[in-house]
Amino acid sequence: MARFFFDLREGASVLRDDEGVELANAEAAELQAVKAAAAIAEENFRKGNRAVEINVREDSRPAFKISLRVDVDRA
Amino acid sequence: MDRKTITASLVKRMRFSEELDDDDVLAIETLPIAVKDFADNQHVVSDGEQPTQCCLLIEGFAVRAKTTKDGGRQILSIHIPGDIPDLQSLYLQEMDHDLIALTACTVGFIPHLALRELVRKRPNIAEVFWRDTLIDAAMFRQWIVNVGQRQAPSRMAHLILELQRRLEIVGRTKGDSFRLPMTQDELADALGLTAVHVNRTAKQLRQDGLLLIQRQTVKILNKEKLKELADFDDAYLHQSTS
Repeated sequence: MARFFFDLREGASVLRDDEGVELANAEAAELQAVKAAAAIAEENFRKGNRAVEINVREDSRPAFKISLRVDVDRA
Repeated sequence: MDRKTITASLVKRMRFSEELDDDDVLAIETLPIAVKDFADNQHVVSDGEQPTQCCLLIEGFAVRAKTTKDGGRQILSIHIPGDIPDLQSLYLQEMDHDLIALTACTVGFIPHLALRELVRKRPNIAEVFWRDTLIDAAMFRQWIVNVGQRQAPSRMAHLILELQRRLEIVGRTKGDSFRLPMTQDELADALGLTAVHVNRTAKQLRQDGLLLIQRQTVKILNKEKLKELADFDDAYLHQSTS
């Protein structure tokens, strides 16, 4: 188990995670980040913001980044 | 701990909307209750167990939860002093979920035999207990709508407003403030969200001037707007005094 911190960036706004989540491994943290990014992207989509980025730290070290951008190509 | 203190929140809650006479209350107060303390995260009753007693939550917060095979946990309900979260075990032998202490808890164990005798002798109390399990189901219906349909801010708002109302009935609020000893991860398990989404939703509700969650204390800043956002109507709690 390790503690992962998920910092969220949406446009210019950054929300730092000071509490973190206890997870089994980096793979579980990736899945968690994808789930969060997808849900937040859906919520943002209703307001016209299309990009979500989550920077994940394992303990205090940067571990990985997930970014998600929703594009609609209308026919 | 004296008998009146053990059952104080339960009696307060039961008397809030029901007609119990003094003999009913005395019968509750004289139940044989064994008091035990639990540490946070300790299981009070586990999935699959066959309990011979029901748990009265005297102090602290507890949750009912179900964990899937791949380790995902869904918190099903949050419990506060005065609740008997496993009243169902009186008639359903095997537990189909866990009851877990969220904080340090004081729990009173009431033997099923004593509860059966109580409801046979005192129909008023039998009706109140029956009603209690029906309200429990009404709360589950709202919980399902919450996790299945509401957007994250409405979900969180709904959970907060329900807890505020329930805590108010047992005298555990200070105006629109109350203690909510839940981590962002535990709130996530209750709301069907991720911890990062919970963190962001809390920030948004704060920025919108609706709700402040800080150091495990909740302060409702604008109740009317929060109710509107949550689509909250406390009728399903069936706790009106009229």
